[in-house]
Amino acid sequence: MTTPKRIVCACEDVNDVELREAIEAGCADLESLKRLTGFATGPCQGKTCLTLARQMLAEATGATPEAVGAITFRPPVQPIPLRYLAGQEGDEA
Amino acid sequence: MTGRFSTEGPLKERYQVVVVGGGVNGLGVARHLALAGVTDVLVLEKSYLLHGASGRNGGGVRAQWGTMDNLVLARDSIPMFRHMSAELGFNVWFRQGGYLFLAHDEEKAKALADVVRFHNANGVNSRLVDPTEAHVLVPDLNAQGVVAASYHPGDGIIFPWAVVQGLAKRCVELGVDVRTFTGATGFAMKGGRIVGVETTRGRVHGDSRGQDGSGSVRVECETVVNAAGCWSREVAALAGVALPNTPVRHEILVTEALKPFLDPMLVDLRNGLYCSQDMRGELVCGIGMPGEKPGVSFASSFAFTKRVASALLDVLPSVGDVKVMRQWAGAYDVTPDNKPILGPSPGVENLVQLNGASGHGFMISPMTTRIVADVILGRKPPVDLAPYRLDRFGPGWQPEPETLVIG
Repeated sequence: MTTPKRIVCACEDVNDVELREAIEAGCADLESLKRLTGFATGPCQGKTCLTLARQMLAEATGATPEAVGAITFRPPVQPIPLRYLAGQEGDEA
Repeated sequence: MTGRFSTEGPLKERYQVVVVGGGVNGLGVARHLALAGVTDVLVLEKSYLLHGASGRNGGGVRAQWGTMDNLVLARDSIPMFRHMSAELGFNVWFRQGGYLFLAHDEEKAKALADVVRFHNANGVNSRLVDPTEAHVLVPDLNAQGVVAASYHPGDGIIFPWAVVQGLAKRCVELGVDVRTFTGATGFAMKGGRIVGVETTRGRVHGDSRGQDGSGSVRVECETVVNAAGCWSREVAALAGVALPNTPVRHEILVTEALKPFLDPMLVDLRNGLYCSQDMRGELVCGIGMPGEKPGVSFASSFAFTKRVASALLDVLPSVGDVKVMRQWAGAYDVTPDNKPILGPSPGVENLVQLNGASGHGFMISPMTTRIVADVILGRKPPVDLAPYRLDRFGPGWQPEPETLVIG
């Protein structure tokens, strides 16, 4: 019997089996794991998946979640329409 | 997913070649060497794979250049990119949608007509298009004010992360020693040659800024390649070699994913804006920032965000409601003539330079890594090395203007 796959990153459709395979392929830090699997690169930018991925990496490497740390967070905090940034008129979202 | 992307276990005491920098150039030259039978190669990456410009660039690949020395490298790299997925056994997401350079005044239109003639005389099938055809190529384009554009359908985009990961995996498969979180901190010199490389060892989880302080390990070697990107000048200085390279920050943003609607990469010659739609559907955009100060900085600026958003909506007004998802910064390694530095160093012959690509290093890396591998192997490179050697910056040197530097 196989264990069902679990979604870790819903934005980019990355599951726990893919993360585990990437860790086995040598990703021993979150930045490498992000770049190989694409987790945390979608619209939520890691808000839902980072904790799960960190937990998986900590369990696999024997490090504490604190030692695993976090990815570098990039601006903006929330996705922003281009026309707001361009200073154009428009309805508030 | 199969294979590994880095090597484990202790370093050997001696390697034939040590490559400083685990980006597209460092891994690329290691792969060429290994394919030629030289597998006794160590690649040192001081952080995680893709930490430098190889993981921070926009993935543009174009043969439309204004000087012969850049054109040849870029033109002949395109077929190598086309075959790369098959050769690496790893999808690098190459898509040839062309590049469309937009000129909004007669002077720039004439300059484009001149470079198109230059391209056509040198094996690049670009063509001048009028605003009507530009609109056909990009239905969402605001062609108002466009006087002319140059279009080369063979140009395209690639996913830089996948290229570097594919190269790393293939290097490891071929027997190359690829070490992440291991930097070069010094060279042991003897009689004008490098005989050893001091390395950091240690790995810290999730923090590329620190090393764990477990001490330095020296490895002996015959040849060192300096493929350290924006840190190349510092690496060369460790051997007493002065490079004229200057690191300059460049920022990029990416939007949420959309259905495919933008085939070519758009370039606006008024402001250095470039925008492509990547294979995930996201828009990837950068722009020239006047007054950017030299130095290695990966900080994001709101000035960039505003400038690129305004410039983008000017040429693609339909994407105003599309959301910016993420922005980041990297650093170009800029030379005085915007051409890379390739080959041996005066005074330290076994320090081979592979850097200074001035913002287009990724797109020319198939050729530059091949050339440098040929130099190390004692083979004749596919092009004359003279225009790229470090010693070109001698007395009486005059830079040939490169008109198609953007961003």
